[in-house]
Amino acid sequence: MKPGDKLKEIRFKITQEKINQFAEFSGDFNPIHVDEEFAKIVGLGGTIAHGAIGMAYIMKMLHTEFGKKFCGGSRFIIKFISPMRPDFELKTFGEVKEISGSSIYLSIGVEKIEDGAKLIVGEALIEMGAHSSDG
Amino acid sequence: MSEKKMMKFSELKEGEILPPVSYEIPEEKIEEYKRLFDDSSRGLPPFVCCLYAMKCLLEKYSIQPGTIHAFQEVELRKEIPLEERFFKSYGVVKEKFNKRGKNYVLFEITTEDLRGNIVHKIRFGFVVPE
Repeated sequence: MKPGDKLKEIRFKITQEKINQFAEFSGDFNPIHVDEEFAKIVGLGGTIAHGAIGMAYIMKMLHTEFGKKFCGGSRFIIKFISPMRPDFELKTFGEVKEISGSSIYLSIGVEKIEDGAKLIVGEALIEMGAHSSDG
Repeated sequence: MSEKKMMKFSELKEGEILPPVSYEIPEEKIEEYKRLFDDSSRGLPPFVCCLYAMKCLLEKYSIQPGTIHAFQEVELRKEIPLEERFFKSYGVVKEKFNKRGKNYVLFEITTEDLRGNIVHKIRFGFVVPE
């Protein structure tokens, strides 16, 4: 792995059905996700997906790439900069920015397939030398 | 049974403790996650574990309608075998501030396994309506 290398993207589509399923799964029925009228009243222009849906796909991407190293020695931070709305076609992205010793630094996030607009952006650090086990 | 309060910016205090909550992550929930996200990985999906950590916040407060998830930081410290499903999470209100007219509250939650090993620490920020 070297700077500039890209992680395998995960493509997904946000639908109101998917948002509702995630609300059931997580127990998060905040009306901004499931009530179109409420979401309009509070100025969101319509329902938006839970940010955690994007986070789940980012974590899946990192887990797929780094496996145990991701679970046992990693850190990431993401900012939800723009809402994921129903019917958005999205994909995760991850790119190696720097490698220092056994540490890999990446830029990560979620963007729209249509125009590349970034909706979630962040950074990740994977410690390749670390693999925790409590034995 | 204590009644849950609505989480309000004006009432939260920096340093406020979210008391420890012990729980089991049911196998059905893991399967549900795998179906939703088409994830065939082995072990306990770290996302599910992070989601359950929110229990220590949700046991104390209900989330105000209109609350927005602004950012998330996750530090994963331990791979969790699938058969390990009992955890304890506890947290603290790290910071609250107003920026450009929005009320931000930052929380930190730590999760431990049954032996007291830290599984992860998560920090997240909410924009709270009031």
